[in-house]
Amino acid sequence: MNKKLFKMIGKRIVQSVIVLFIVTLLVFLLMQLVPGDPIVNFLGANATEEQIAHYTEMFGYDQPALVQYGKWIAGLFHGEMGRSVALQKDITEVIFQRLGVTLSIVLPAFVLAVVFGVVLGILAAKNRGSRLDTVISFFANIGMSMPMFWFGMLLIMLFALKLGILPTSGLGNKADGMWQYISHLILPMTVLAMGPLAQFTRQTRSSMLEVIRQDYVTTAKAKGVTKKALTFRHQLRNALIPIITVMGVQLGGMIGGTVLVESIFVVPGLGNLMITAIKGRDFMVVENGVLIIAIAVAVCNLVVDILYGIIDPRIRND
Amino acid sequence: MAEKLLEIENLCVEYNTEIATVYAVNGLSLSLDYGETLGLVGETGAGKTTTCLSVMRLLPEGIGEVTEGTIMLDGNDMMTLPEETVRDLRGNTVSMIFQDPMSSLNPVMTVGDQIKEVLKIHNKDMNKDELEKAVDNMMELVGIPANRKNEYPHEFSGGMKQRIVIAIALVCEPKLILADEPTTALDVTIQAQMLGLINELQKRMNTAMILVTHDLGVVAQTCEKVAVMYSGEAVEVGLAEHIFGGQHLHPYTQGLFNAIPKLDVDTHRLETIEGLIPDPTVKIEGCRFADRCKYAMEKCKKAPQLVEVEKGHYIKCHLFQDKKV
Amino acid sequence: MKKIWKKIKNSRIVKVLFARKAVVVCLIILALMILSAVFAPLVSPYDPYKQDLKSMLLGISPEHWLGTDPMGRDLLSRIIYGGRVSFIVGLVSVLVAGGIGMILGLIAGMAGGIIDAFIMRVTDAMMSVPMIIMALFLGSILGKGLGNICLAIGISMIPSYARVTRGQVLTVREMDYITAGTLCGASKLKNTLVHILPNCISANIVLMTMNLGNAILNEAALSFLGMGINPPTASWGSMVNDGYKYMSSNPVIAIAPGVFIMIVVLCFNMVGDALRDAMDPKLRGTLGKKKKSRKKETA
Repeated sequence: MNKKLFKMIGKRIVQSVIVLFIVTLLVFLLMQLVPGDPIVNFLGANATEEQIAHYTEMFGYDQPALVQYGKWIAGLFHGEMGRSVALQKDITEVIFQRLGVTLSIVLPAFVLAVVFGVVLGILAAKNRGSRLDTVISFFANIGMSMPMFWFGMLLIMLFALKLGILPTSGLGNKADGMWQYISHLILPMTVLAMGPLAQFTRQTRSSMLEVIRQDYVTTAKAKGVTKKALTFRHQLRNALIPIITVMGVQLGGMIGGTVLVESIFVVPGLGNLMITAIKGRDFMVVENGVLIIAIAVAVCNLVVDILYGIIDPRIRND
Repeated sequence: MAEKLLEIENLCVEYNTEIATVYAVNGLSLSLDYGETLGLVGETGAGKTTTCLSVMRLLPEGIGEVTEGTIMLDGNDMMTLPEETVRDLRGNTVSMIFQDPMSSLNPVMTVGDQIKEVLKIHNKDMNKDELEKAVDNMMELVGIPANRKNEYPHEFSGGMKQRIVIAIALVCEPKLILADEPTTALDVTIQAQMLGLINELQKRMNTAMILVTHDLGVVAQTCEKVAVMYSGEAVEVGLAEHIFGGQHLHPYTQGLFNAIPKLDVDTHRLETIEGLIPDPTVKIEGCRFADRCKYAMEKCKKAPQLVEVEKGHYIKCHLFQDKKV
Repeated sequence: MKKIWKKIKNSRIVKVLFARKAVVVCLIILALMILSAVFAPLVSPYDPYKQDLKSMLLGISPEHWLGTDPMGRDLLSRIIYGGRVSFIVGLVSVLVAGGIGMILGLIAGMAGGIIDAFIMRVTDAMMSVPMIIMALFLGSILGKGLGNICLAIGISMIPSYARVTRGQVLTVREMDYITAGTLCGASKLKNTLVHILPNCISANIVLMTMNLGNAILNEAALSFLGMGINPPTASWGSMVNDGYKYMSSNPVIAIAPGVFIMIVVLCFNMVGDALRDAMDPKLRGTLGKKKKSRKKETA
């Protein structure tokens, strides 16, 4: 049985690599269409022709597209992503440092969203039609409909400006104590978790309701199982299958959402880097940034597939 | 110990959905002795499954509701008992075999675990080895090699799944089994096997059974008593010999028999019962079969009573109202 | 005509939709907002672009119901005009995504083989880049402006439609009635048009309704980041961004447009959910409610 599982994982890894390769191709091709020039952008309007030519040659932007692409991919295999024009730094270093910052917000936010979302979803489904269900469903709907940046702004207004208990921007320094560090993460984390939390709540609720109607749940009831066993052994485990799909999608979405969160809370993460790079036409940074994000998403999907295989014995047979 | 194993009195069940209210069972009365087998016959939508679910108190929560009547099971009033007590009865005193074996097993649990679960609930003093042994025994009993107990339902064929469902239903040796069309979803060749298996185990454990079916042939083979349901009520209840050999029959039952091809008579075309089962969302005052009945008369606008036409044979029809014994 | 009306009135979808009071409320709110956006020049009390530096950052008053922005423009008028952007972006981008996605899905599903594999891998690749980053990226290629934003958001949403359509094609293709059609001599094209396409369309319509809200949120996010609609055109997202700086002195400027985004998205989501439930035959008859103990279903 485990052999099947490993085989499935292997297959998925190969697929992911193919998809990532297509991502590099797409991003690179599309980047050729972006108007503007990183060198001109960096040097400003006063740059002379020679300066521009010099830098263009230095960064290799004068070479044919295919060569540039080849160089990029070849570099990737050595762990090199080239140099950023705007930052004048090694991209690998910058991206991984930024990725760390981003993940330190995304991962706790994800856990927060999953735990609260699943619990609330079960509560709502179990008390279907009750006032509790109405309240939970209402807030889940609100949570899904709120613009993230606006919710962040409200939180800043409330917790930072009115109450003055949490910092509004930047990152805390671990050296200043744990609270300093955590307090900076609370608001961005909450904002990022909001939408996915609402999604998980809704998905859990609806897939629990779907499962509750299944014949095997009636069978279980006919056996005389207790409510607790019914919920966890028979319902939740089956309901988790679609929830896990949503988890994968949402985790990817959260990585995207950092673009907004990091811009509101001025967090120097990957999202912020992407915006500056896109605005500054820093092609190499954008290409590598998108690739790193795609890799992160692919890893998420892989984890989801593995979880699938563990939870649903039917998948292992494919 | 109560005299009867099961007594259903004037049972009424409604389903309330967003769009309409469905009157699924309308004043059904039935009784069953220990060890007896009753065939519950009727077309789709007659309320057979609903009756079974009511006995188990497993009507879909928030949708199905018993609005009237009583159900006494082995001396327990199923309408008023607290949930925990009902839970102790389910799987232990009464268990159910469902229609569709494909969907009535939990897809993410091994079949062995699913059989073990019900044993564990009702036999708290059994230790691990005893449980495993009992599971092995039960699997062999229903004809599945015990070494397949660590497999998942999707690895079994439909017939084998139904064997497992039967194992789950019987492993605690209940006093009553509700078999809800246990063979409809299966191949014809397997149907007979499955019925044989259920019958055999039932005899061995001296269990009573309500066999829900729309196949009169199956009833003739296996049941001592028969109840014919139409549109949520029992229109005729009697011993098998009354129904299959007697002269007095409810017009609906007659219709059912006429719809069966006969070997000894040359028939060109089978007779059918004209019309459809009445709209279950409408409450009907008079005889519910009147619209389709060729004997329908003026008094059928009023509901008939269930009368005993011969000993142990009851019919709900105005034709027999004066034939009371 | 009357017959058609009666058919519409009695269809299950309409029944389920209108059985939920919350959905009816949402439909009314949406209708009002769409109408006021369409007839913005008639409805809005002031010119949304007219700057009046004497009356900047006014609070809520009988003249200016929601006050004025830093340039002295009437906030309510700007919100009414901003609704135009949101609704247009929502609708157009969803149509772009649905149209292209459906065609790609149909091709992939019907052609199979290498074409299918190619289309699916490309959508996989697109899906592995989060939607907002995809939209930002496409936005930077296409440039700012209403049309380009619609296109950017629309393209970034294509993969889900392509997948849903392909899935539908694959399931429907195996159905017995398609085989029956083939046996009766229907060509592949006819089967596609008569049987498969309608099935895909209903699934896509549900998805489109459910994505309307997302599209509006994405436009707002892009505009908030300054990569969406060009100023001075009023867009709810950029209005939040403009008001951000005045958060402590005059919070209404930033809060009000956000509230409108939320309401519109909420309404679209609710309608989309209801539509999905109504169209999903699996859920038939399960939308139950208890008679006494149960309160009306709201969500």
